Amino acid sequence: MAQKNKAYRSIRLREFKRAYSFLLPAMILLAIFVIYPIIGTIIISFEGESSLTLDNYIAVLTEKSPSKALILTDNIGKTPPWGALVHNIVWIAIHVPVTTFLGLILAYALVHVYGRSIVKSLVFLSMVIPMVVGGLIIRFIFDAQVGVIPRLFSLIGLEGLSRTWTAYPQTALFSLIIGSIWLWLGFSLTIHSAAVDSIPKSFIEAARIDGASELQIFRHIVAPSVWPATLTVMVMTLLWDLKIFDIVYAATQGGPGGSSTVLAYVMWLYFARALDYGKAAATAVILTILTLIAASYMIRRSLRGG
Amino acid sequence: MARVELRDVVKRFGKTVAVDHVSLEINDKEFFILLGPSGCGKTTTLRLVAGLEYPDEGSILIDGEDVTYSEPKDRNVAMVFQNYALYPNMSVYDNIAFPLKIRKKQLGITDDEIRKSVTEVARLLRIEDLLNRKPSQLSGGQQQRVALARALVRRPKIWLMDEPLSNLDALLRIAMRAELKRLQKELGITTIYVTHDQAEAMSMADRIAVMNKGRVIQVGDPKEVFLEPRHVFVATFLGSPPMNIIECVIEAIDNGLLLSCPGFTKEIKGVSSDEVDGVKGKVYLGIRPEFISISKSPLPGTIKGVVYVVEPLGTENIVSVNIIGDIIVKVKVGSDINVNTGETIYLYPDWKRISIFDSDTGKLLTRITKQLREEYTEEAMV
Amino acid sequence: MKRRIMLFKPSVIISNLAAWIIAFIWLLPFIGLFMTSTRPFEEVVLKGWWSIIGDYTIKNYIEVLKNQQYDLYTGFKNSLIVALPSTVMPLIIAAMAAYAFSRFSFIMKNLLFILILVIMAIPQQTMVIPLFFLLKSMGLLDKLLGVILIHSSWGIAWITFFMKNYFSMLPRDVEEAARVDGASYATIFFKIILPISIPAIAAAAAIQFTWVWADFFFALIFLYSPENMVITQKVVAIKGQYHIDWGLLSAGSILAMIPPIIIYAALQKYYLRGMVGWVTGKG
Repeated sequence: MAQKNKAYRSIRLREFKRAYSFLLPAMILLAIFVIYPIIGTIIISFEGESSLTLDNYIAVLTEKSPSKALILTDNIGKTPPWGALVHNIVWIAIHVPVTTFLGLILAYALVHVYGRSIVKSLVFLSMVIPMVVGGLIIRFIFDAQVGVIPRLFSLIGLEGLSRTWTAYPQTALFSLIIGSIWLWLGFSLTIHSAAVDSIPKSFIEAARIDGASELQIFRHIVAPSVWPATLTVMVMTLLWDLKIFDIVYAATQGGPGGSSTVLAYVMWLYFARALDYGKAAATAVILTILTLIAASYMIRRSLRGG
Repeated sequence: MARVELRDVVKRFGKTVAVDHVSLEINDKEFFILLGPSGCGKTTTLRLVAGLEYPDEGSILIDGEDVTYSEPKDRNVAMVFQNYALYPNMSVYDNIAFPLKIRKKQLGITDDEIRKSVTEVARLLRIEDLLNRKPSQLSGGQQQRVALARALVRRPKIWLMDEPLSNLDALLRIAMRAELKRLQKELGITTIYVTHDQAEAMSMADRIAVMNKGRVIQVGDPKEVFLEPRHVFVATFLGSPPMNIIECVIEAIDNGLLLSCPGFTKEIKGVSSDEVDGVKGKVYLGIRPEFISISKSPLPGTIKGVVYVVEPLGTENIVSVNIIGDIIVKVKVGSDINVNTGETIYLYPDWKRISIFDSDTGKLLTRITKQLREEYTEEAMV
Repeated sequence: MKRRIMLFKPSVIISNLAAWIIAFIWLLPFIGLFMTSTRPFEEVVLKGWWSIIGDYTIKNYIEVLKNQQYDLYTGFKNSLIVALPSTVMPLIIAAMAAYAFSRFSFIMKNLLFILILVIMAIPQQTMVIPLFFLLKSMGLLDKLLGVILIHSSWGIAWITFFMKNYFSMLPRDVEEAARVDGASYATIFFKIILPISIPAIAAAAAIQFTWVWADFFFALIFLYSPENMVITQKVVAIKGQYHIDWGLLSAGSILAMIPPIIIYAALQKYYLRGMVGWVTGKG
């Protein structure tokens, strides 16, 4: 029996060595360049003058200067007084439903479309380009001098919308949000399209023979069948909106007057402009907590899937 | 020389016991078949011998050497998989050469020698023309041959085969049976072969181990397991159609036992109830359809019944006969015997071939079966 | 017959019309950018980029590539130097880890897997402060090698997740055959698993390359000398503080998006399947 145990232990040891010889390179790189920095950031965010404190968090959340405020600026009266966190929330509130829904409808409409794979490829193109370029393109299409959108509005005679959108606090954030729909629709369409393709043809055909209208088919068969994909798209879009940085940097630099700041941008300002590492870390941790709350759905689902 | 021995081997997956105290001895050059329904543990047993799984208890010996926990590569076994498991990224030649190439240093062989071995085995299996193709360009039968060639090329001590013919179409499967058996005998490689197909087992095996629910129920040569089932499971798993099982009651009478079955009774003399202690009550009477004859007129010792359905199978007919209530007995008769549905006929079982099983354990009641059979041997002699 | 009836159904006509209008709108910014980059800026300002009659020129492209003020050539070169190893290295390392996750049982397996999933969700902002000082102490700040190491490590998490899902779908018997044939796990992995996983590797490589190429945040933090900047930094720098020369900026933007678009065009099938696999776990 003792010998048996010994033999068994030696197998376990063999398996352990084997598994970790495959895992080791990944673990070393992750430990040094990912896990250590994450823990470091958390510690820095709590570092005060002498002991661990919440000062950084309090300071960051109550900050009032327009470019760095997370919640409310002292800018009351002139422009919308909201801070970066609110901008992120507005962004999510508009971008997530519009992109998700548009992608879903388009995915289903494409079933009957000639050249559907070309349409899909064209819509996906904006997902492939670097996001800073995406930001520059947003700047471009909303530019009074060369952009299409201000020109269209000047044709109708709407003065307020025929200038460079990104240069005015009333329109800067919205131009970014509209641009992000252009940038991100390809994702929603691709995921939904894969889900629509996997609905058995017989379902839809049976419904059609039963006399269901296209709208009824969409509502009662297509939308419920692709719901897991829709949920995935919503969560991923939400995560993307939380982490958004490149577009803002390239198109508006958070301006004008802090009217288009976002969490990640404020974090960067603290880090690179103010050199205030404690506040930068606190902002990063707030951003991380929000991301992890949103991602917990995906994480749990992935764990269940094996 | 290659003998395989399994000693009291147990393998669990979580709470299920896949292999339950299995002990087997497989002789040198033997074609040994593990037969049983899906999920009976036969494949797991094979994988334990291959080293793809390690047992929780017991030990496995190859030529007396304990290999229970050795790596597959240290066992000198070769395996043929159900789906052939060819390396899809390699040509047929590279597939066959793979086992030699990775042992090149160990075996001390040159590329030329590898080429020679591959060509030789390819010729043996008649796949010389396919060597440059990719597995995806081959038919099922051709893939099968490549898999066999790969398992042969390094002349392993033991050949392990996991349902290697089950993905072939019926005709090819039957042709391959004969060829595999010829190959195995010619090369004299000890072979353990897993299948759920009893016809395959009957036609190829030197010996068969019938398995169910992780246990080995019976080991014997094909004739033995067919004619002398030691368990009601073996009786009903083998044969087509399987053995008829009739629930009967056994009770002690003067100088013997009385077997009361639906529609008929039978006295078994010369056994006292002490000798079969504990079997009073329900038993199963088993008669193979092959060992029942049909008569159109009542003869002494026959059982009356009504023809329920006739299935013609070409040279034979399978006649289902309703004896009493809803009890159906199947009979295999020559196609020259003409019976019609609804006709009253009389069955005459060959009592020398019957088996009686305990209804609780399913095991053969050896003493009673023997006595019953002997009576008829005597009777016939008189 | 059936097709023809389908073609004239109103819902089908509307679907086709709507889909192609969207496709056109989605393409329009690219067309605008391209037109602006190939036309003299004065003409664009006067008539709009949508007027196709006039002069065409590649002056803007030459200017952004050659002029030391913009120097997109260096940015392009640096981006390639960063993106190629940052694609190959994590792919191999993560594929190995993914193989362990899909085939072996080992202690802390679940914990490590949760860690991978968490890393996939975490924003880059959470890492950069300590990394800045780490690179500084290693002498890798403002060095391409530092950024390569960070991108490679950062990519490991999602590629491990992605490849694990793919490996889990591969039939086991091929590997078992190789084990019985006498192959070691290393041989099995490099000679059998990797070659038959080429579709997944192509997908992961295409996406990882695109992401590294597109990265701006890490570059912004860790690279600051003009000769070490990558293309995304260089392109943004073309945009002046107050005046924007759209001719140059559009030319730069187009140059920056060429490699990912080429990869997307060449590996579209893998790319899209990879995208789906990345988020749903069904490669």
